[in-house]
Amino acid sequence: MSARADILSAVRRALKAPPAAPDLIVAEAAALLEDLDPARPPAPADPVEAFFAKIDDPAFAASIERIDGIRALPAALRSYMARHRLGFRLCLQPQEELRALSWAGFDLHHEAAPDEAVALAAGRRGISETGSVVLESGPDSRILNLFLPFHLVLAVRASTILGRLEDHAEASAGLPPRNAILMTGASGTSDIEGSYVRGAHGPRFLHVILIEDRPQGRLEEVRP
Amino acid sequence: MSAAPELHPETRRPARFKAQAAEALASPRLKLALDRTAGNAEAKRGAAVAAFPGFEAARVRGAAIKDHTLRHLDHYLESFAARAEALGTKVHWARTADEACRITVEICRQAGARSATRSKSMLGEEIGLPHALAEAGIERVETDLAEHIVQLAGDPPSHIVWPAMHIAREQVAELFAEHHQTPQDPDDVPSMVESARRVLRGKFLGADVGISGANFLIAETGAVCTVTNEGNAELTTTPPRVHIVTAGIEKLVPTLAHAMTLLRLLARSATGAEITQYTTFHAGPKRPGDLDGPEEMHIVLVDNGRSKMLGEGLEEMLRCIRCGACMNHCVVYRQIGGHAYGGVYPGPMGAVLTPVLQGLKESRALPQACTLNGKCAEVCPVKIPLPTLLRGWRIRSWREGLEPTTVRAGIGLWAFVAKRPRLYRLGVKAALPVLRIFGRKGWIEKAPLLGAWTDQRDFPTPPRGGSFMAQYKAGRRS
Amino acid sequence: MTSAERPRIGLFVTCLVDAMRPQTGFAAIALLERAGCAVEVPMAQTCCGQPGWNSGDEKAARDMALRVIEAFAPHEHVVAPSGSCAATIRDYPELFEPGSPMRARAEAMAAKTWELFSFLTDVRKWRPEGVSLPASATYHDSCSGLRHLDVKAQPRKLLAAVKGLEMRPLPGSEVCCGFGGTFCVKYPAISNAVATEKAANIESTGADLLLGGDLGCLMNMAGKLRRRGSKIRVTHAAEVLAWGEKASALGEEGAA
Repeated sequence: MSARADILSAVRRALKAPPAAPDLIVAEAAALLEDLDPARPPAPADPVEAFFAKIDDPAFAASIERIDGIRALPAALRSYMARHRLGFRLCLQPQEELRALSWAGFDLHHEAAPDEAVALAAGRRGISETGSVVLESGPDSRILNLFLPFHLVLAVRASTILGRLEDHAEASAGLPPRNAILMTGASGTSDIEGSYVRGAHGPRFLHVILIEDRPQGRLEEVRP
Repeated sequence: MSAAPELHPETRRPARFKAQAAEALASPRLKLALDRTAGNAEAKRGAAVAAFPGFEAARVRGAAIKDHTLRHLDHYLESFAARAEALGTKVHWARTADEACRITVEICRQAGARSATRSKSMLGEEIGLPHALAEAGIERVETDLAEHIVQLAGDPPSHIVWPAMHIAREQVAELFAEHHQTPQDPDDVPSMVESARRVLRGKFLGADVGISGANFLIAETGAVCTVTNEGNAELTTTPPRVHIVTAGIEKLVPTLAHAMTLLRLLARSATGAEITQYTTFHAGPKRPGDLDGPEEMHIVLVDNGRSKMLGEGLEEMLRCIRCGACMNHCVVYRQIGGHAYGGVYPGPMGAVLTPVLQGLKESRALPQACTLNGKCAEVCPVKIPLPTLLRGWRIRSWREGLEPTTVRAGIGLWAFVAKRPRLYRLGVKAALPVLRIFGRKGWIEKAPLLGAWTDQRDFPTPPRGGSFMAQYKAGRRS
Repeated sequence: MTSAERPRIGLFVTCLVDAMRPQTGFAAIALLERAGCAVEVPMAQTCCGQPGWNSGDEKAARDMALRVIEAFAPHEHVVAPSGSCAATIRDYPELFEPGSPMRARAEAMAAKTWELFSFLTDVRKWRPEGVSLPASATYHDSCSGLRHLDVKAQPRKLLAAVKGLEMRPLPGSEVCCGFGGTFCVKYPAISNAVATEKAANIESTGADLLLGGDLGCLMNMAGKLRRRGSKIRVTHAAEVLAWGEKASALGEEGAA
C-alpha cells in the first residue's frame, strides 16, 4: 500500500467511529466559529482609530503616520527618508497605485538588493486587533522587497482597515494568493538570553503610512 | 563558515535522564540562562493573558477546534491534500521519520541542491532531518537565530521556542567570533544579531532549497501557515527554487478563520505577544507572473506515531501547538533545562511525546520526573491534561514491568501493609520509636533509609505520644 | 438532632498526619466540631492510595480505593486535612469501569469528599472566633488543593479571622515546592533544587511562620528551611486556626 493509503487507514482505524458525512463535518466546523466574541478581543468602535493607536503605542515595534490621500505619499516618504538620512534611492514595490504617483526627485527601482536601505509597498488591508498589515504576493509584488530592506514603509488605505483577525479571514475568501503575510511590526528576536532586539533578518524599522481615503475622511475628526 | 559539528544523538538519551539532570543541576550558568529566558517568557505570558479577558474562552474554543479536526482527521487530510495539489504543491506522505527524511533528501537531490536553508521546525528535529541532510552531503543552514547558534555550538535545541535557551550571551560571542570571523562584544547583543544577519543574508539568497515546518495546515485552502518573529521563514522559502514543508499530520485546521483562535493562543502563550511579527500563509509554488517565489513547493505529511496516538488515549496530546508554555512554567524544566530530557521535545509535553517517539523502555524516567503539580495543564493554551497523560505513561510502565524492582518492591510492601489496617498500625507503632532515636532537637539530620530526604533537608522527629490513631484510640480527642 | 444540623463527618486523617503530626488531626477534629459537625474517625483507614496511583500501580490504588470507600460508607461527608489526599479520592472514579456499580460508588465517594478548609468555608460557611496569634505568616498553596480542588481563598479567609495574624504574600506561592510525593525520593537532586528556590522565597517574606494545608509539602519546606538555618516556623494552618498562639510548629516537640 502507498504511504498515503497506509496513513489514512491508520487514522481511520484509530478513530474507531465510521467517517462522518462531509456536510455534517462542515456544519460542526462552522459551529466552532459561532458566538466567538467571548473568546476574542472586543470589536473596536472605530477600526481605523484602533489600528492607528495600536501601532502608535511605543511598545509596538513600528511607527505610524497618517496622510490625506495617496497623492501625499511621495512627500511623506521624502520626509521619512530625510529623517532617517536614507538618501533618495527607494525600492518601490511595482504596484500600479504606487507607480502612478509622482516620484520626482527619487531614484526608483523595483527589486530590492541584499543590502537595500528602504522600500515602500502597499498593503492589501490592515487589522486593528493586532496592528497587522496584510501583504500579498503577485505580479506586482515581490516578497523579498518586504524582507531585504533595513527600513520598510507600508502604505495602507483607511478604507481597508478591518477589526479582527476573523474579518481578515472572511475578506480573503476564495483562491488565496501564493503568499499572504500578516506583518505586525518590524522583525525582532529574543533568542539571545530573551533580550529583545529589532531587525533579526527582516526589516529593523517598519513605518506604516495610513492613507485617509474614506469619503468623509478626517473631516469627522475636526468636528467637536 | 566551517561546517558545524553534527550532533551525536547517542550522547544524550532519555534513558540517561538522571545523570543528565545531575549534570544540568551542576551548571550555575545554565540555571541563569534558563531563568533569564524562561522567566522573561513567563512574565510576558502572564501580562498577555491578563490583558486578554477572553483567554479562557479562547482556550476552550481552541481545544474544541483541534478536537474536531482530529476527530475528522482523515477527511481533513484528504481535503488539504486535494487543495494543496490544486495549487500546484506536490504532497508527499511519510509513515515514519526515516521515510520523511528519505523523501526530503530525494527532493533535494532532484533539485541538485548543495545547500538548504532551514527555518526552525521541531518536526525536522523529530525526524532527524539535520542528520539526514548531512549524510546526503547537503550543507544545512539554520536561519532562525537560535538554531544558528545551536548549530554553531553543535548542540540540539533545548527548548521548542527558544532552542538556544541554554546558551549565555558570552558563549554566543565566542561562537560568532570563531564562525563569523569577526570580533564580537558579549555585552552588545544587537551587534551580535547584526553579525548573524550579515552572515546569513548571503546564505538565504544562495540556497538551492528552503525547508520549513508548518504551524498550521489550512484544509480549506491547502495553504501552509508559518509564524516567525525574525522573518527567516519568508527568507528561507522565497529565494530558493524549491520550498519543502515537513509537517506532522496533526497540524490541520479546517479554515483560516479557525486558525485565528489558535494564533491568538499561540503567540500569547509563547512570547506574550498578541500575534507573531510574521504570520505567513504559503499556498503553492510561484504562479505565472509572480515576481518571486519557489518554482516547486513540496509538503511532506508525516505520521511518525501520530495515528497511533490517536487510537491509544493520547489524542489530546495532538492538540499541542508547540508554544512552550508548559516547559517555561515547569519546576523541573526550570531547574534542568531541555537537554537533560535527552529527547527532541523537552519538558512536560516532551515527557508525553518522547515515549511515543523513542519507546517507553527508553524513556520511562521522563513521565516519572514530574511532581504532578498541574501547572503545565493550567497554562496549556489548548487544555491538554498533561499530568493525566503522564500518569497514563506511568500506568503503562508499571503494567509492562518497566519500573525498577526496588520501586515495585517498595510499592508492593506499602500496598500489602496499607491494605491491612491492624498490621499497618503495628508497623507505624514499631517504626516511630526507631525513627525517634535519630532525632535531635525535634529534627532528624541523618538516618538510615532516609538518605534521599536527609541528604538535602531535615526530617521532623515523629511525635512522642505515638501516631494519631493510637492517641485517638486511647481517648484523645483534641 | 438531624443530620442537616449536625452532619456526620468521617475524618480522613491521612497517613502522614497519622504518623508524623497527630496534632493536625486533632486540630481538624476541633475545627469541624466548632463548625457544628459530628466527627468520627473510622479505624479501618490507612492511606488514600496515592503512592500506588502516582507510581502507576493502578491495582494497588484500586484496592486502596475500595477499602477507603468501604470505611467511609456511613458518612455524609469525608474531610481530609490535605488537598493532595482529598484530590486522590476525587480521582477514584477513574480507577473503575464507567457504568460499573463500583464506579458509581467511587463517584459518590468523590462527591462527598472535601479538603478541610474548603469544607469549613464552602460547605459550612464557618469562620473561627476568639483565636489569636500575634505573628506574621505567609501561605504556600499546595498544588493538588489549588488546581484540583480550587483551594486558594478558603484558608486565607479563615486565617483572616485570627486576631493579630498578619498575612504576607509569598512570591511564587502557587509554584510547586518540589515535594511531589514519591518524586522527592525518586529525584532528590531536582526536588532539592526546587525546594531551595521555594525556601529562598519564603525567607524573603520575613514572616515568622509558614502555613499550608498539606503536611507533605510542609515537611519538605520546613526541612529545607531548617537545613538552611532559617528560623521560620512551619505548621499546618489547621493548628493555627484551632489553637492560635498555642499551636506548635514542625520539629517543636511537646507543645499542643
